[in-house]
Parts: sequence; structure tokens; C-alpha cells
Amino acid sequence: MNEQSVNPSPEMPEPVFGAARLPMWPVLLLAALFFGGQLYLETYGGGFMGDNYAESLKSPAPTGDLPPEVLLYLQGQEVYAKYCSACHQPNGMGTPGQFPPLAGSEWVTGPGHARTVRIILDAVGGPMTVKGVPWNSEAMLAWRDQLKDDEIAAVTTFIRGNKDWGNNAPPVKTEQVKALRDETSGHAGRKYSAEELLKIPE
Amino acid sequence: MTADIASTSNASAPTNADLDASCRGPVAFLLISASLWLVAATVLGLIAAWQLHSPEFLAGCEFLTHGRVKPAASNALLYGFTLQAAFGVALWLICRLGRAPLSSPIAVFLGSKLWNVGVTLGVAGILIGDNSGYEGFEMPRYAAPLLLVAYLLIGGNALVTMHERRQRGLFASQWYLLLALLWFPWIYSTALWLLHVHPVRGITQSVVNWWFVGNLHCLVLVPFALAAAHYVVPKLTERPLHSRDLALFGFWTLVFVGGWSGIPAGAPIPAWFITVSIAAAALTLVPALAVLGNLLATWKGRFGLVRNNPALAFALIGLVFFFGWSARAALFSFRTPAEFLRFSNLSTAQNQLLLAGAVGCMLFAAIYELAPRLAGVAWPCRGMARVHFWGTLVGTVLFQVSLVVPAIRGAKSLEGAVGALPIPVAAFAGLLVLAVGNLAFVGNVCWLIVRHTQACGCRKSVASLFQPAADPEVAS
Amino acid sequence: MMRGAVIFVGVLFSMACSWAALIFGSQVQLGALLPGAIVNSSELYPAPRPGLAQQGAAVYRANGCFYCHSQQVRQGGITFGAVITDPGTNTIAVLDELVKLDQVAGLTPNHNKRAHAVATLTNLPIVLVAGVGPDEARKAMNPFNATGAKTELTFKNLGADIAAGLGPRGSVARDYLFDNPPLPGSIRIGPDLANIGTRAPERFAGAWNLSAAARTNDLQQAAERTAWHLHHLYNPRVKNKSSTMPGYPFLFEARPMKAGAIGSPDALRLTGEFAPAAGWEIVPTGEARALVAYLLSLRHAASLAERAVPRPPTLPAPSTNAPAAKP
Repeated sequence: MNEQSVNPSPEMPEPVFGAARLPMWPVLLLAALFFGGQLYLETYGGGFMGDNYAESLKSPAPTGDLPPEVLLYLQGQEVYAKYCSACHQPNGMGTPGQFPPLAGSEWVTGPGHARTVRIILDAVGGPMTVKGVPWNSEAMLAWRDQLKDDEIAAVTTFIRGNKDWGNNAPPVKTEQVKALRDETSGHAGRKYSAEELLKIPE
Repeated sequence: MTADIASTSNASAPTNADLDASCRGPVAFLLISASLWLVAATVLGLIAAWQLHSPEFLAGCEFLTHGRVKPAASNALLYGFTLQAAFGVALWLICRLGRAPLSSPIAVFLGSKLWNVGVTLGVAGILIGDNSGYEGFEMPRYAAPLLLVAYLLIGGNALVTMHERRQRGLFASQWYLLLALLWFPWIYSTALWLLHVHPVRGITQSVVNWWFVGNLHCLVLVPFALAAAHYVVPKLTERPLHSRDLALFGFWTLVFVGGWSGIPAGAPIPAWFITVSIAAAALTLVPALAVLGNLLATWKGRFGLVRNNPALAFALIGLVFFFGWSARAALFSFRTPAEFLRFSNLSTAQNQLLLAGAVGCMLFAAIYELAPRLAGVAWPCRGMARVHFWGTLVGTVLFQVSLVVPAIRGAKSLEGAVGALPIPVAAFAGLLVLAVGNLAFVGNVCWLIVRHTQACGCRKSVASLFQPAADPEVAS
Repeated sequence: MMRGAVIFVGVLFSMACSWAALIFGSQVQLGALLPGAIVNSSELYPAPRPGLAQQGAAVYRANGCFYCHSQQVRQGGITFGAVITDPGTNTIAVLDELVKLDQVAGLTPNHNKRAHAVATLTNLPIVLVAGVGPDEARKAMNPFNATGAKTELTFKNLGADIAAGLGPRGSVARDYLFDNPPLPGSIRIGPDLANIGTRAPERFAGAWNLSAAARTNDLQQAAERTAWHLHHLYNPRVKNKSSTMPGYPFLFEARPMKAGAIGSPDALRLTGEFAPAAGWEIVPTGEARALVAYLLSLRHAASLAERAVPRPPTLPAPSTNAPAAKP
């Protein structure tokens, strides 16, 4: 380290800006990553919910411990979609002049299930009043042979308890349907009429 | 635009010598303290790394058990060395670029003293067992607030000096410095309040902790480092910074993206926090690439200057490490790789790459440029600078490769998911080489100070170091 | 244009956004968390730690255990399945449905499906489907419910941590409610400790054993685990020759043995190279006991609404003549 090198090297001037324009590639990269980021947040953000630890909303909480009436309701939703919604519509409003509504219907939301399950088992036909509107149709089908006890219990629970339709009646158990099926085995093949049903206590 | 700004027609503008004189004392104190803390951090870090190989080493001593030495080393490095060096570089850059003398050197000096007291108390507190439990924020309750008060003196002064600048236009370095100087007190005071004063409930403490560390890395340390790089590269290659627009783009994308990173994948909190952090980590690639592109374009054709100029050499490897860090963060923060790599040695490697690699090297680059200007004498030993450079480069590469390659190889096995593989000896060797480089640097600094006092011919009193430069209006 | 004021406003805005989302957002969603009910039970989880374990948490934090050990189990998702738990009396219908189902365990394409299906009827629970979504699982259950068989929906927690046996479910925010500070850790140089209180310590790398979890209240098991942890803390090489964990002899004290050389019941049983000098014994201090109490209180295994723990399906009690059903 000789003495000549004690002084620091001469200093350059302070840096200044150059005049080059902004190239396109960083902007495109930002746009691509930002768009991808939004998609990623939407798909894997778990809906920004505070109790969702799974990133994808597609894996719902385990239902193994749900109460049986909730499981029955969910099953009934499928049964309804498969068999009933073609006529009574997914929104339960039916078609005016053709199929009566289930939403708000007194035949569905009675305190007991006796009339509702009978309608499903052996159908109802002829003149009847639903929500104050007169109907006269033979279109309803009997489901005694098509649906099993648990399916009938499920769909009855569903239509009775569907809050989206405004129905809030108690659920029905599979055993109750089985008992009613056996009790009414003599009525198989014959449709009910409205007066016949009204005579049955709820 | 290439004229020496210091010799513009305005005769009352302060010269480089005046500016250096105004900030010499505080900056020197900060850098010398930083160097001493670097030695302490190196020693503690080597002890901690050796204990991973030989667990019986110092295990009987309560104050030197691994779980205490490791955070002591990391706090000494982060708060003792990195932040103090960053403050020193920041103050000098603000004076030089704004062409205004430091507004209150005594206040900065007091702040630096208080900072050192705080870090000493903090590191000692960790060693006696008062670890706060927050990774990256381990200092106990009696030391952590001291740092905030000290910062208000140092950072407040820096901001006032910037406000009083005579050169009103802001260069890119000053943008980044303003960002870092504003962001640090915000995140530090938030962490202090929500973790020490009124601790929040349960795992939300960890969320605050992760947010603090993520912001500290991305929006305090990285901006200090980028400010240094944006100054050193154009100045020493004698070229204008390639594109102001690109620099603006890189700056603003960092500001808006950097604050969201930090929450690790798999954390026991609702999924959206993690998803936001992953998206932010991927988006951080944009400012990293923009800055890299801008500075490399500035440098084009003059890479040969690296051979004789340690500042440029450190700036180059610092930028490469910075890009490597952000690319790795973008790749491995997604949930699928994170499942096997989050708890592996990759996280240790990431931290080291940022602190000692990217930020450390870019700050060293600035120090190699500014120290001779402040001291008025050249670096006494080119050889030691070379040892420092090669030690840092070889040590960092060795450390990174020896940790990352086995982590990725082992990632497909369940062992990789549930545990880190044993630290290979090569990693310790890398740390040793790095330590040698750091000690060479500290030796060089000491020699520089000796040379400075010799060149001045007399021993200066401490007070004279802090006399502000003669008023430029009067002098000329 | 890039004046100091512009940068200040921009930086402030960005600070405010990130603070609002991550800090404030986490407070809104998690800041008022309270203990919640365990699934199918009225017990609240978590309960605050007993006093000795609270002190142990301070020892754990002071000695930096979280720099090598994590305390979080990660989970990747859930899949569902369905099993038959009781074939009921209408076995012919059950067999028909089983034959229709392609996925009866053990069937190969050319085999006599019916004969195999008969054999599986005694091998309860019979897996109908696994690794599917909840709707598909329930669809598989429906035809069997109609035959009078009893089916049950099962689910499985996925993830490398769970497969490796670190816990039956991923950790959630509620698990850390009484941790001040929570110490989730960031690297696993040593094994994850989230469920160390329910795992036999020597099996920390082995498969999760659900029935062992049921024995956590057993005093004998607790005593054995306490002893294991105390020896392990004193010097991990006593329990695991290749361990790289440091020992904590300063949490123990060496005492001269009382006259008669029987030694106190608290003393560690150390042999060979680890044994103290003749006439001396190593006894844990209060800090060591507190730390072990803390470790044994670590469990993230309760079944919660946000993340449930699978239970084995409830099988009917075996009848006297039939072979015993598998537990």
C-alpha cells in the first residue's frame, strides 16, 4: 500500500436519469400475472370466508356428523330434482292450469304428514283447491311402486321444510312412511280425491 | 444531463466535500457499529450452525443453547448490522442526491447510540431467555420500543433532510429511500402495539408477525438495497440510468405488491390469507425483473468494470441474488411445492439469500463507494476487498446449493414434508467462507479508519466530527 | 411529477390497504374467536392449559424450541366415502347391489363377483366407495339404504402431514386460542409437536394410531411419557442415538445421593456414558417438569366444525354365532 494510493479514486458525477421509454414486456408481464392472480384468488381463495380453511369452495365441510333429518333433506333435494321438478318446477311453483304449486301449499305444510305422503303414494285427482285456487287434474302420478320408503320420506321432508319456498313444516321419518305405506296398502292403484283426503286427520 | 451537478452555476450549492463533512460523523458511527454487529452476528451464527452438527457444543451453558444463540445471531445480523448499515447508506445518499447537508447530526448520533443500546439489550435479553416468541421480532419488551424511539431520531432526520433538499427533483434512489423510511416505523409500531402492548388473540399474533416480517423484507430491506443499487450502478458505470419510466414502473409495482406477502402456505388460518400472499409472491417478480432489466441495460457493455471495482462487483452479485430470491419465493410459495418444502431447509436458505445475499451485497456495494469519500482516503487493502467479495460469493453459493438441492430432491418423500434433512457440512463450510469474507471487510474498515486519522494528521475530538459544514452561502 | 408528496400518498395508500386486509381483516375474522363445541359433544375446545403447562410454555419460548420444531399440522383437503356397517337381513338384495357396484374391495374382473360379494358380507365395514366427493358417496349409499342395510358416510383428511401421522386433522385458528404467543414454527429440524401430547413419543415418525389417542387419560401412559420426555430433554442421545437436538442439562440438577444409595424416585435412570458420577443423581427442576407438562398438553386432535376428525364407523355388536366384526 504505497502512499500514492492513499487518496481515493476521482469521483464520478452523481447518477441521472436516462431517456429510454418503458418497454412493453414488464407491462404485459404485470397484466398477465395480475389476471392470473385474480383467477387464483377466485378459485383458491376459499371465498374470503373466515371459517374456510380449505382453499377451494368445492370441498364442503364433512357431513358425516349431520343430524339425520338434514341428511334426509339433502337426499330429498335429489329425489325432487329427479322425479318431481319436471311438473312442479324446481321453484315449487308448478305451472298455472297444469300442475299446482307446492310452495306455500296447505296440502304440503300441514301439521302432520298423513295427507302429503298419501298423495305421493297413490296420487290425487279431480277437483281440489290449492292456496285458494281451484284445480281439476288427473296428471299426478302414484309413486308407491317407483319410490322406496326412504326416498318418499326424503322428498316429503324436502318439500315440507324448504325455506326457499317459504315452507317450514316438520320433517318425516322413513319409519313413518313405511307404517303409512302398510296402513294404506289397500288403497294401492286408486287415486285419492280431495274430499277423501280432507277427511283424514292431519 | 451529464454535467457534474455539484458545479452548476449556482455558486451557493454545497460541494460533495461539504455534504460529506455534514454527515461524516453519524454515518461513520452507524457504519462502524454495523461492522461490529456484523462480527458479533458472524460469531454467534457460526456457533449456532456448528451446534446443528455437534449438538453437545456448548449445550451445558444455559445462555448459549442453540435455541437462544440462533435468534441472537439473526437479530444481531438484522437489527444490528443490516438496518444500521442501511441507515448509514440512506443518510449519505439523501445528503448527496438532495444536495443538502444533514439537518441535525447530533440527533442522528443520539438515535444511533440509542439503537445500539436497544439492540444490545435485545440480544442480551434473548440470550438470558426473554425471547418474545415472534420470529423476526424476538427482542423482549424492554428493548423493542427503544428501537422505535431511536428510529424516530434517525429516520425523522433523514426525512427532514430530504424535505430540505436543494435539488428538488427526486432520483430513483430517493424514491426507494422514502418508501423504506416511511414503511419501517409503520410496521414496527404496529407490531409493537399488537404483539407487545395489547397482544391480539391467538393465531392473529402470528398473522401480525408474518405480516411484519414479510413487509420488513419486501418493503424496508429491499428498498434500502435497491436505493443503493440504483445509485452505485449508473454512477460507477458513468452512464445514465437506462429508463426513468421503467424505474418508475418497478418502484410503484413494488409499493403495491410487496405489502401482501409473508403468510406461509399451510398456516392454520383461513385459506384466503395464504392465497393472497401466494399471489403477491408471484407478482413480486414484476418489480424484480423491471429493476434487473433497467440496471442491466444501464450496465450493458461495461461489465468489465466489475474487475477493479468492488462496489460494482457487489452490486452485480446483489442483483443476481435478489432476482434468485424473488424467483424462488414466487415458485415455492404455491401450496403444492410448499407442502414438501415449507418446513425444509429451503426457508433457511431463502432468508440467507435475502439478508446476506441480496440486501447485504447491495449495501456493501454502497459502502465500498461511500466510505472512501467520507474518509478522504482510499480503501487500504484491495486484497481484503477481494477476499470479502469472493468469500461472499462462494460462501453464499455453497450455502444455497448445499441446502436447496437436497431439499428439492427429498421433497417427494414424506420425510421432506415432515422434516428438514440434516444440514450438510457443506452448508457450514459455506457459512465459514462467508464469515471469512465478512471479517476481511471489518478488518478493511478498521484499517480505513486508522488511515483516515493518520491522513488528517491529528486526532480529532468527537465533537469536531459533528460540526456541520461551514455554511455554503457564507463560504462562497 | 414524482414529488415527495406523491410518493408519500402512494405509500400511505398501499400501507393502508395491506394493513386493512391482513391485520384488520384477520382481527375481524379471527380476533373474537372463542372456544367452540366439539362435534357431537357439548364440551368446549380448547380449554386453557393447566398452570404447570402454562409455565412450561414460557420455558419452551425462552429456550427457542420453536426454531427447530413446528406446531402446526397442515391439511390438503377432504375426500368422502361410504361403508356398509350392517348388511341387515335382506342379504340377497345387498349382494345384488354389491355385484352392481364395481368397486367392492378385492374383486378382479374375471372373478365370480357374487361369490366374492358373499365373502365380503362378514368382513365389516364394507367399503362401497372412497376418495370421492360427498354427493357421489351419498349416491352410492342410497341403493343399500333401500335394502335395509345400514350405511355410513365416511371421510378422510388428506395431506402429507396427516399421512405421516402428525395428527388426525389440520390445525385451525381455534387450536391456538390460549397460546400467548402462539409458536407455530417455520422449520422442522425436529418433528412437529402439535399432537405430541397424544402420540407415544417414540412413534413420532410412525403411523397415526387412533386408538392410542383414546388412552390419553390413562395415568400409566402419562407417567411413561413424562419419564420419556424428561430423559429426552436431559440428553436426546439417551433416547435416540443419532439425534441432533441439543440437550438441556441446565434444566436438571445434580444432587448427591442420600445415604443408602437408593436414589430418589424422581431421579433420571441414566446408564453408560450418560450416567452421572458415582454417588450423584440427576433430578429434574421445576422448569423441566413444566416444560414436559406443556409438551403433554399439546394436542390439536379434537373434532371441530371447521375441521373434523374421522371416527371409525359404528359396527353392530357381533352375534354369538357369527365371526367377530373387525374393530
